[in-house]
Amino acid sequence: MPGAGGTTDQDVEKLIELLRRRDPQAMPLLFEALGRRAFGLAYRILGDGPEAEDVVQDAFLAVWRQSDRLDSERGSVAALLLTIVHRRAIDSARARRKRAVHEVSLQPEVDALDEVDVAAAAIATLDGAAAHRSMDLLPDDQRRVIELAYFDGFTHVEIAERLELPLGTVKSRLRLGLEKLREALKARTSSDVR
Amino acid sequence: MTCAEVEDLLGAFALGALPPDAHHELLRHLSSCDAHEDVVALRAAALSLAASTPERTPPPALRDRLLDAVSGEAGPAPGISHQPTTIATGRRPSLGRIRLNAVAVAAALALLAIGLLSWNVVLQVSDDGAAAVPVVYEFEGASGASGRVLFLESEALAVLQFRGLSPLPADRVYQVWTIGPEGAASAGIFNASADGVARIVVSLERDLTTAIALSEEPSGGSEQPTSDPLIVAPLEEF
Repeated sequence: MPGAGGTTDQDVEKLIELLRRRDPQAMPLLFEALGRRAFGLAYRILGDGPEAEDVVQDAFLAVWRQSDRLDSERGSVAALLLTIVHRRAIDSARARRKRAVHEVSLQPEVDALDEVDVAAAAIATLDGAAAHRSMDLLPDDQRRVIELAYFDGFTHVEIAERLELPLGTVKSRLRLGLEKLREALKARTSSDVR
Repeated sequence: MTCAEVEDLLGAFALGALPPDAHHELLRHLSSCDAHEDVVALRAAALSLAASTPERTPPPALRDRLLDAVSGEAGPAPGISHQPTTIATGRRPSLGRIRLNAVAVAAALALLAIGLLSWNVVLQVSDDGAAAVPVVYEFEGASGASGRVLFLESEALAVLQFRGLSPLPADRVYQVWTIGPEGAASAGIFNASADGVARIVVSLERDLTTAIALSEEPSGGSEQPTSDPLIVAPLEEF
C-alpha cells in the first residue's frame, strides 16, 4: 500500500524498523514525512493554538512509545498516526464544548487502537488530493453530516438535533456517504495504480 | 446489540460518531461476529478523510519539543555517543535548531551552482569524522520548484520534500528517479497537493546514486523517464 506522500511499503518498513529500535533518527524523519499532514488534520479540527500543537506532539509520542508494537503488516504508520491525531483532536474539541472529558472520550485509552483501526489503516487511501476530490463528489447532505461527525466530533444524535433531522436519516446519510466515498476512492486507486 | 442494530450504526461507528457506550458495545459485537464485513472498508474510508485536509506547517518549536521529549527515551544507537548536541546550520535559519541526540557536529556549507539548480549542502559529521545523520541537501530550481533531501545514510533512506510543484491532471504523476552508473531507476511516484507541496520517502544508496531527478509521467509511472526532467539534482561528493 502506498503510504503518505507516495511512500512505498518498503520505505514504511524502514521507518518502522527505525522506530522499533527507538533510533534517535527515527523521529526527525517521521516528523519530516508526516508533521505537516498531522498538523493539518489537528488544525482542521481545533484551529490555531496550543491545543493543535499538543495533539500532534502527543500523537507522535504515542507512536514512538508504542513503536515496539509496530510492524509493516499492522498498517501504515501514517494511517495509525493520523488515527491517533484524529481521536485526540476530537476529544479536545468535545472537551472544549464544555463537557467533561470522561463523558465524551470515545475510549479511555485513546492510544489503544482496536483491530478495526489496525486493519483499516492497512488499506486506507491516504492520497490527500484523491480524498479531497472524492469528498467533493458526495451530495451536500451526506458530506455535511460526515464533516460534522469526523471533523467536528458530533455524535449521530447530536447531528440529528443540530440539523433537526430524524436520527434514522442521519444514520443513513453517514453510511451512504461513507460507502460512496469508499467507492470513489477505490475507483481512483485502481485508475492510478502505484 | 443485534446484527441489524450494528449494521444500522456502522456508518456512525466508522466515523467515530457513536456515544462511548454504543461504541464499546458495537466493538464487543464485532469481536464475536464476522458478519459485518464492510466495517473495515468503511473505517478505512473514514480514515482517508484525515488525508483530505490541507497540510499545514507546524510551528518550529513543536518539532524541537518533540525531539527533546524523545531524546531521553531513545534506545542506544550503535557507534554514536550520547551527549546531546545542538546543531546550528548558520546559513539556513529556516532549518532552525536541529536537536539530535548523540551527535557531535561540525557543519560545513557549500553552495554549488549546477545548471538550473543551486544547492546548499549541509554536512554533519560526528566526532570521529565519519558522516553522521541526517544530511540535508537543499535545492532550488529555476522553474520555481524547490525543496530538500533529508538523507539518512546509515539506513539508505531519504525524505524528499518538494515545494512549488504544479498540481497535475488525473492522468499524470510526478516520478522521482535515482540516477546512478547504470542509469535511472524509479524511486516512486506522487501527486503534489494543492499548495504545491509533496514529500516522499525513498530508498537511496548513496554510493550508487549520483543524482536525483524528477519528471512528469503518465499515471502509474514509467519504466524510464519519458519526458525532460523538471529537476536534476546532482549529489556532489564531499
